[in-house]
Amino acid sequence: MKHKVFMNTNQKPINMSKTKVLFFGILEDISGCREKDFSNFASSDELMKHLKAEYPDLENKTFQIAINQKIINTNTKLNNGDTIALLPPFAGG
Amino acid sequence: MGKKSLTYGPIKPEKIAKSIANHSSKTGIGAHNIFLGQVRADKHEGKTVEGIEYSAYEDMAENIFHEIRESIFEKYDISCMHIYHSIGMVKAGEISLFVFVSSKHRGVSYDASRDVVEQIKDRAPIWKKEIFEGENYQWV
Repeated sequence: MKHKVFMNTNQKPINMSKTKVLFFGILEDISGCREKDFSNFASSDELMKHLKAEYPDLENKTFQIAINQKIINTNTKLNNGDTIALLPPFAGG
Repeated sequence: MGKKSLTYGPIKPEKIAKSIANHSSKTGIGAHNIFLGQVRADKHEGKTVEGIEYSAYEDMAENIFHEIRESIFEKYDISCMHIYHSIGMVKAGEISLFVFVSSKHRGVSYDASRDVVEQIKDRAPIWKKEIFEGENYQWV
């Protein structure tokens, strides 16, 4: 029985990095989902540029960005498995 | 980490009464300060808010509540404190936030309670959607 070969063993594995993006509050309405996975973005700026192209309405919204629950204020390197959350102004209480 | 602060649906008055009763054995306490947040039936362009649907970045919110707690214990001489915040639907007139601070004397309980509530408003990743009659809603 013949098996299909999916990967050439001489090839190095593709270096895939995965980032989970969480959309909260009104941003969930813009993206149409609560979370979505994205691959191969090296930095938060790069990913944000992509997100704003995919969801143009993000451009006019105010939000903070958290990586693994920590709010960032500058461009930050992304590691495989990071979770990025887009947080509109908080409204608890 | 201790008990969770986020709780599904409204905070029942019975829960608040039970919390008070639970402190009767702590006889070093001389003052309880309780803050309750209640959902308002605000009017926007003739439509009345029926309730608020709360959503949260739950893991982060629990961690922030924990940080708030640590900061309050560091800053004030209090005996104990509890935070409960609703997620999900809470109707107008129902309670969505319950902050309970206990201390030996009254002064510090007022200060600490106010500080907790302001920190929650400022730091907790929680959002609300005002639900109107029918299917309409607006993010706050």
